[in-house]
Amino acid sequence: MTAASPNKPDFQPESGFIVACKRDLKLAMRSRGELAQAFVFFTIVVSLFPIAIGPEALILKRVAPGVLWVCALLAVLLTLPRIFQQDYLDATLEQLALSRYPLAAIVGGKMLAHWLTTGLPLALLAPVIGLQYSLEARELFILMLGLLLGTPVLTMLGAMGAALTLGVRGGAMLMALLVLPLYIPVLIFGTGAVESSMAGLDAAANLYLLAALNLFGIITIPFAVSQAIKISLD
Amino acid sequence: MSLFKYSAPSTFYPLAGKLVPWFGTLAFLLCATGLYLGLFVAPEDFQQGEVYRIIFIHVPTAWMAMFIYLVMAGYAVLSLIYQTRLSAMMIEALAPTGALFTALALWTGALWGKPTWGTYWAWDARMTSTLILLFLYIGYIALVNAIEDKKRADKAGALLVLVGSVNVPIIYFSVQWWNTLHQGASISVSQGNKMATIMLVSMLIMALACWMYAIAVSLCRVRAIILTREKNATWVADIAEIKGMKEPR
Amino acid sequence: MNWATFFDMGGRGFYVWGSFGAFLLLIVIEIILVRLRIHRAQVDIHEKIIADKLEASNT
Repeated sequence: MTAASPNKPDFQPESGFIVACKRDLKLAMRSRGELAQAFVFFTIVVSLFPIAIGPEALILKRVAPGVLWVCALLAVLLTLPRIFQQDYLDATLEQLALSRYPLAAIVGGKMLAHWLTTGLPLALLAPVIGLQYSLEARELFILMLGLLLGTPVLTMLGAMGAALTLGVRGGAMLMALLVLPLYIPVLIFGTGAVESSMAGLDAAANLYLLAALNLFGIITIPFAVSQAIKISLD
Repeated sequence: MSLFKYSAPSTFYPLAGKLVPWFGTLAFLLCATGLYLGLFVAPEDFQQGEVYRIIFIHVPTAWMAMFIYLVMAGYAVLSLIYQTRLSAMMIEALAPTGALFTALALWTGALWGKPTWGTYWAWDARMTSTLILLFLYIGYIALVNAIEDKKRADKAGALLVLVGSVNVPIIYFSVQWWNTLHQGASISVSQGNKMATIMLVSMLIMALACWMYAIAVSLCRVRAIILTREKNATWVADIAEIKGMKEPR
Repeated sequence: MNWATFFDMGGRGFYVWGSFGAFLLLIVIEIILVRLRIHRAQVDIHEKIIADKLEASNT
């Protein structure tokens, strides 16, 4: 029986996944300031609404789920170019596509890294910011759960949009155009969960639906995104 | 075997040219019949009076909006599996017509909504889904126009349409879900009770008319697309209309 | 056939004819635009053929 030697190259897709994830995390840590911008954006935009609508607690409470979720969507949208842009520009992406690792595994790793540095912190941050809207602790908790379940889907769908628009002029705006309609189910279930909680009902159904979207996405999207990358690289 | 002959743009161009007048005439006749039945023969609705007649435009255009996107998805599958350029060109040819029907469905829906339910836009499940469908059409058109390399644009567009079509049932379900959550205006197209047969028939005829029209226009448009792409090929010089053009003095 | 009543559509003429009118108008516009598109493509090819011929006769 041969034990895996440290010098022997590993062809398992799992290691492609891990390699890509670790690499992207390392790169992200180097530009922490850039990462933080998304959260600052989220905080600022969330604060814009009470300024625009007025401080009435009842109204703010009513619009809170929608506003918080839309701001989260937009914050994630802003960070999407990061997944492939740099690698595309310095031809690393091409090399990754030609490497021995399955491109779908690499894409999966990149998406996980993106979520860990965007969606996850956002989900943890949102309840704190959500206090501005007079939400109860239970509702804030549901908000966080929903974001934890929903932001991976946002990353995956966003990666799809990013991969299709690589190197295209005006790509960022075009990507937003493509991706935002696809975000709508996540938005609906995420806000639905919080609103159910606010109405004293069970938020579980909405959360299960988000989990289902997640599962479906994990199974289908990495492969689709790898196809999109191959199309963009040709 | 003989069908594959037509998957080459040079052979499809004349074929499409011959088919367009047939579908166009069919569309015109069906439309005339449908409009006649809908405007003059179908009786007044006991609830909504005369304004219900908008459904003879609204419902067929809404059906076509959905149907054309499905056809685009079918061509997308073909183009990604068989790599035929013509399939990708058909997607490009269908998209503007699909977007047009979607916009018409929204417009007529709004004009129907105001007198019937008091508001131009009621955010019901169907109208919201149709609006999102319009965004999907626009997204495809924007993507294909933004990518300069035609081969890449074809493939990317096809993939986008596929992703979109997988999402359409998800989006539709989520909007229905959203609608029940918010107890929106309970709007139903079917006039409460059973629709009079003549109304159904008129709607179906108009739907067929729109379908024939969509085929005619997209065949026309794909001819234009073929010409633009095959500009440098040798066979285009033999096209009758071009041969007949006068040389500038 | 009372045309005035027909055109009025029970007071809702604006909505009915706004719908049917938009339908016909947009379809006519689409047809015109598509035919223009084909024509432009054909003119493009025609001009290219002429330019090629000129080049060939000059060399």
